Amino acid sequence: IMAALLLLLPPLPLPRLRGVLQRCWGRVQRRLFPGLSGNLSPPWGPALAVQAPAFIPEPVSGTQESAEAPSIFDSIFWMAVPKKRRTIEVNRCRRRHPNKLIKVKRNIDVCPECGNLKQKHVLCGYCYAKVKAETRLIRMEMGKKEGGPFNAPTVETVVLYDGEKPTEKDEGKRIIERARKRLSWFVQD
Amino acid sequence: FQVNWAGTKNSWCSAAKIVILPCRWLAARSLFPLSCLPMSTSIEKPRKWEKKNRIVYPPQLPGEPRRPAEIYHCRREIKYSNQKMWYLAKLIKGMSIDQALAQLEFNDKKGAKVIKEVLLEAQELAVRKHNVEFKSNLHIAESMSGRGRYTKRIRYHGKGMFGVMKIVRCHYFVKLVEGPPPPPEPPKTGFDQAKEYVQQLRNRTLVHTL
Repeated sequence: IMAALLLLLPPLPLPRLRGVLQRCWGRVQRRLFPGLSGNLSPPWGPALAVQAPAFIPEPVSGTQESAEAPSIFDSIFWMAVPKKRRTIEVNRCRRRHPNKLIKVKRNIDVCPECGNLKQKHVLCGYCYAKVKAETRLIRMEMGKKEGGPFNAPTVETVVLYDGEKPTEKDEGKRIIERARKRLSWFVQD
Repeated sequence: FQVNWAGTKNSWCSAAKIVILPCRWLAARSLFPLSCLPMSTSIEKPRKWEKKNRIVYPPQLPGEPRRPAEIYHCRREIKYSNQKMWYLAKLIKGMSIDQALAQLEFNDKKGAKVIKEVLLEAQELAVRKHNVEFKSNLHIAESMSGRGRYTKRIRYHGKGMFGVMKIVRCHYFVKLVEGPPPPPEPPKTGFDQAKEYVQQLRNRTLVHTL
């Protein structure tokens, strides 16, 4: 029917166009209705499409290491990957498990010297800071006395505060003067 | 409780108190929510925790047990993660304030320092403004962390690649109540669970029958 219509259409369009159209339509007809044109063999059913490799594979004894690129890709395909999104309930069970919560510390005591809190096996932070500050001042005095690097004397050092005199025991020692009252925790000798 | 403005016109200034009479607590704002009007891109965040300090209860009757003082305090937009702050908030829930301060002092997390400051501020507030007699007689009734405003920034990777990173902030809320901390609940034994189960079975009844 469509062929008849096509034949009728032509007067206006060019004859070349008509020929093209006819050939296209013929191809479409043969594809869709293979049984219409009588010359062809009876329609064949669906056939198995087997993908055969383009080349015949070499025997097994052939080169094994030539397949280097495929092995990398294989290892990518076999990587561990999450299968499903973890729900918030599962996430909460993991995040709030007792082994993830912060443990309550039971080794906190009061420092007998200053009264601040300290851990049992650690020096008191406040007392340490106080000692550190005083040590820094003593070291500055020592630096002023020495005057430069590598001038540390080979004798002992004694720190004396306000109003203190060196005793006979401090004969050959280097004396550092600190211009303040002796601190309660820095006991002499 | 019904709200009695006690003659204050501008009720939301910080000095005003909201007096509660023994009726219902009504929100004084107009019912028309302003958020539906197209004002600007950033809407006012609700800041309810700060307002909780403003409620004033009516004087107690002579026979009533003494109502313990409650102090609400918070810090907003702390540069720390909400999830990490949660662990610290969970640590101090239900402790006395001294114990909480001790635990936080020897904790190595960044949020521990922040929470310690917040607790000390709250303790100071309690003693100065909320008529708490002993600063040690406080315990932590509620301690929570909330999500703050996140900002997005570009993180530069190699080879011209980039990622979008979030600058994460959190809030921290604490409610101190006067008095010693409540004793911890004993964990549920198997015997208790079995008793509950049997009781549930016994409570079953027939419905839609005579």
